Amino acid sequence: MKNCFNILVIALCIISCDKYYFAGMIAPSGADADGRFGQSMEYNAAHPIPTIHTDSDDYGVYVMTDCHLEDETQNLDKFVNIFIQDEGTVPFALCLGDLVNGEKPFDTFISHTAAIQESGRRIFLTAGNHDLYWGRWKDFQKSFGTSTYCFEVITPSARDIFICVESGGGTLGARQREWLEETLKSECSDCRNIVVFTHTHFFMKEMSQGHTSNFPLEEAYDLTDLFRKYGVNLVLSGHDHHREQTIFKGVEYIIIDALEYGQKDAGYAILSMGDGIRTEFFPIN
Amino acid sequence: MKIRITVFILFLLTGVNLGAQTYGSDKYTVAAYVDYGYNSTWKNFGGLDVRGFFPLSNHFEMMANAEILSSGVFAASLTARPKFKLRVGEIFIDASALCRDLFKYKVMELTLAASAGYRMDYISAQLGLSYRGIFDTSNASEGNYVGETLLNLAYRVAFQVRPVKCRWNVGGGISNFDEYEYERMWQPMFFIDGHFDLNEKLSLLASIKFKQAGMFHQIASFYGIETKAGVSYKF
Repeated sequence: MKNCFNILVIALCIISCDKYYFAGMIAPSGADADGRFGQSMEYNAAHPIPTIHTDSDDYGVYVMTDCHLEDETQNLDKFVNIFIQDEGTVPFALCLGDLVNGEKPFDTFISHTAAIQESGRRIFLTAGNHDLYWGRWKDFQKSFGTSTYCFEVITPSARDIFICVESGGGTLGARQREWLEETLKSECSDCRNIVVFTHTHFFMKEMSQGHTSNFPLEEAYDLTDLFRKYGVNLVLSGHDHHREQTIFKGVEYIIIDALEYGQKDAGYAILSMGDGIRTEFFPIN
Repeated sequence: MKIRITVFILFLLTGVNLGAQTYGSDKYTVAAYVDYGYNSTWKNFGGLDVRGFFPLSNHFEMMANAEILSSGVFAASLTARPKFKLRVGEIFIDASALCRDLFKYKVMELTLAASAGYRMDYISAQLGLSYRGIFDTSNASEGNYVGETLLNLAYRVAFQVRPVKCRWNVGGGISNFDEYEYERMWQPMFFIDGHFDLNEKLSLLASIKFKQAGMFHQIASFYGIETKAGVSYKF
């Protein structure tokens, strides 16, 4: 019995020190969801995201998530190369959070995605839970500015809206929830497609990763009804590391495979945006 | 009387629950509560909660519960519990069905759960599985049902500071389910509860439930709290 207890204590210490922030999973630490949202909004006010224009009504969006960078960056490098070498209309990529593991700095992610900016394209991202461990929100904000925002894509005959909400803490918090509804109400009435992307997934249909937590049920029902009410087409998330597609109340929910090096089914997705959204999945290995 | 009121107010601040009180009871009991709560999604909400406890024999009891909340939720649950006395305490098996209509969100949830447990004067523990079906009642053209995993653990560990049959008792614990909610396994709720017997038939009850978002594997933060105050009558 004593041995079991010792093993448990050692395991918790190892887990806490390396990849997981055990203390923060139990007790509140750092800025809460409302605080992070407030700081994102301050950044957005000073740095508005310019509208993206495409010369074609049909365009592509690359999506990746959970690259969990440590020392191995091969999968992220491959993704970046594939994206920048794509000669189609693919103006930007989305990253759904968990950029790094442990207390690794975001510098590695920034340097390995710099080629995207240099190619004239963009990558939009949000914070995942691993990006918030050990009070990392300050670093995240310093590196990327915001984790809650929306932007529009104007094509010759249509307008699409992309809304990013931060859910690394397993909740949007009250203020971000209000902002989300206000944004859906004010920005999305004449849109062709509405895409919401975030880190945490909404349903727990299977135990593929086992230990991923979700939104509280009340919040999951509230948000899924909000998406129905305002005609959201697609909700993208990561966190679970394993692909899952669900349609609920007429809204498609997709969990994207993790891009993490060493993950068996590591991959990414490409959205084909047009009159409707088609999603294709690609392995990275 | 002043002392009773003071104790009751203290219980409102610390908690009480019919579930703990029923251990070892052979009397049919009904209870009614008023609820007040706050969470980041619903903000302030109130409600009414009615519960019945029916010890049908020495080896079998049933519980029926119904609750309505101002946040647009009606929930009803039924639990059948075979139980077997041990030299100290007893073991039991719960088979439960919970139907929760979140009519504000046009969602109905049906949860089936089975668990086994042990309880005695000071502690109780329960472990099992729950399965949730989520039904869309908005009549959307596509996607009217989501079935969640069958492997969702249901667990509850509770303690009482005094033997159950004492006139007053206070306890607490951690659980991911109660009479009206089966959360995902990584979403525990903390609770404090207790009771105060006014006489052999009437008891005052109260409880507080506390929920954090992002517990385990995310970043924990306050999500909500729900308090209940009520009265039970033993026949």
